[in-house]
Amino acid sequence: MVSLIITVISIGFFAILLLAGTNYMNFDAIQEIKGGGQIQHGFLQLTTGYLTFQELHREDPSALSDVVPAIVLEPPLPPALSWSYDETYRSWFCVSGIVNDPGMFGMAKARYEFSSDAATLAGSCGATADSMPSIYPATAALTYYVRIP
Amino acid sequence: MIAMIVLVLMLVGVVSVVGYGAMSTQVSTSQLMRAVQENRSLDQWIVAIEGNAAPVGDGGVLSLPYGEEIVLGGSAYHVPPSWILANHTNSWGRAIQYCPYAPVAVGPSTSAVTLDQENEYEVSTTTYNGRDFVTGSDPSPFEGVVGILISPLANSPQVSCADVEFSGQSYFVPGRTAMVRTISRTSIEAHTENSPMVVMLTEDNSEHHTEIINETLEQWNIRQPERLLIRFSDSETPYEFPVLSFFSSDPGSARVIQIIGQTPGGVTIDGIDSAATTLTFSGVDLQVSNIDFTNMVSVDFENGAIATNSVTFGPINIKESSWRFGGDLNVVTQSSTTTAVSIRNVSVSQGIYDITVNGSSGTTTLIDYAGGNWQSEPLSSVVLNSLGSAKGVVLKNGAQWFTDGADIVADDGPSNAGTFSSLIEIEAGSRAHLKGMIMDMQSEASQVFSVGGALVLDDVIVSLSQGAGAGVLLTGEGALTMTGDSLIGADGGLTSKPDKGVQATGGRFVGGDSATINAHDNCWEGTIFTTSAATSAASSSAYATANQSDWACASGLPTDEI
Repeated sequence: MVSLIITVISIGFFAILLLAGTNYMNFDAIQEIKGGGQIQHGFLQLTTGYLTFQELHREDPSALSDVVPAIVLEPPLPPALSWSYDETYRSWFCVSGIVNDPGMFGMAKARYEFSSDAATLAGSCGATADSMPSIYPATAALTYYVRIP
Repeated sequence: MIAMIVLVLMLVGVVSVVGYGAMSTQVSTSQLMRAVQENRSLDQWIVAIEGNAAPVGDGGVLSLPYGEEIVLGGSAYHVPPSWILANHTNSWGRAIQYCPYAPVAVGPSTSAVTLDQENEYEVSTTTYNGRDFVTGSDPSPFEGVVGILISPLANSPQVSCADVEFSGQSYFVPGRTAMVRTISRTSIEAHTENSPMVVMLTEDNSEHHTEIINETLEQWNIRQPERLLIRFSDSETPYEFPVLSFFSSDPGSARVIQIIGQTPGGVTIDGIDSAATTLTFSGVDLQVSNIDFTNMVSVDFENGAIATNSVTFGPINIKESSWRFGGDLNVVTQSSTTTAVSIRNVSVSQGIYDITVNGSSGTTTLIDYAGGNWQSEPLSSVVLNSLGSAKGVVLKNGAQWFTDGADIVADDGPSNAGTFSSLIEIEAGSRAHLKGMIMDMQSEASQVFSVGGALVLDDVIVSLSQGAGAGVLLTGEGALTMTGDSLIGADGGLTSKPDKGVQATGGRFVGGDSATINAHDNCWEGTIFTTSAATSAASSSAYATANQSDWACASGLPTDEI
């Protein structure tokens, strides 16, 4: 009898936990965490590829294709975002796309993992200062600088 | 329940993102580390190649090592020489390829450097210390580049130096499928600044010897390298030298000049078209080995150190220096040579080696030694050949000659026409201490010794075969000591002993005991012996205090009076 009572209480407690977790869980936050992690790891991976290219060839990559997939596989990104690269003046990698909310698939979260000198979140790649869009949907671009002259 | 499943799936997604990120980071970091390693490996290759470059190019410029051919994928490629100890394959298991060039065009004899199945270029190589170096080549594909190294990446197609391009910033192969590094001429020249100059003269480049030597002198005067090596291969025909002067701008820095022949007697150096020439060295450390200069090549040397090993010199003039022997030395002269060997304030360490000086008809002094100390060790000898009437060795200006076990031979040349006015002349203030030796007088001499300074004969046998006017001519303030069973002449025919044993026209001292004199006329004569009344005593000890001698007169008259 005691065992039955304990079993019923346990089932009830577990059900409460599940229902409560589901109700209180913010799915957007989970998406942001996932996207932010992907972006951070992506920058790290691309930067490593960039440094590898420099070690191998004693100059900066001239195009994203020099790094991806020549040296590293293309890091995964949330849907609607893509990678780009430029080395015209500063060398940077950028993730950009059209976003619908301030979370930006984790771009905002990832932005604040880097210093203001190392990264900018703006409406286009290569921006030198943060400039958050005020109206959504909008084009957002998180630029990570790997070489600043 | 559906929400729970979605939640779980999302959590799995987050975890997988984290896991994938960690894994990809590890992989890319590993690639970076490998790239760093390969980068460092290629840097080490460059250092190794530059470090093993030999200064055998024109003007002593460093030349890169010639590599080796290997077959990769059915095609030959050039790779670094196996004697360079470095990783010949990269971490992806691919062979390092190598293309050496030289800043000058190829010479008459060439070798090929194979780039791939379709491409090759020509190089000239010079062997140095048993290894081949590229001293000439077809033009490098890139200005200022004298070497290319290629390290192919993993799983990339085979490439060669023919594929290398320049981006304006770096050298690469299309597709970036290999690491490319170059060795610049600037880098080589920078290394050359700190490296010795080496000039190789062989029969192969005999047409350019004068040009090469003049270029070497010009470069030496500009660079003043710590070491200049002029190396000769054996040759049937003489190498011809113009007039050369090597003056060190910093005499205290001991810049070394090495003139090295391949084997003893295998290399002869003459003037151009056998004209007289002079090689002048000042303020350097000169090392000469296995070289025979003709009598048309005079050597003037001052303010440095000279070391010789199996060398024949023409007339030589050395001042304010030290002289070290590592082998026998010959000196040859021409008819206009009045002094064969002139030495001023030079420390001479003869060691166990022989010095042979060959005078000519016009030679009046074979060795003129002023100042300095000359040390002759046992088993060594001094051979003096006179073709005219010469003094053998003149010691003056405080010069001192010490011999212990060394022999002296006086020869009169192949025609037996030569004579010596004095075999050894010791001027005031100079001194000769001869010990444990035989003086083999095979030539006629006015006197064996002319002593105005000091002479000590200790266990010295003066053997005559052509006779002599006097064994010792004592002049001025001369002092003579004979001891240790020294012997002048032999109790034989006229040619085996001097006319007079010791002829004292001056002298301030005679001394020593246990010496024996054989003479045709008087064993000793002169004022220094006659201040005693006992001019006809059987022993010289009976004479004046300046006369502390106790010599025996074995044959001849023991008096100054005939």
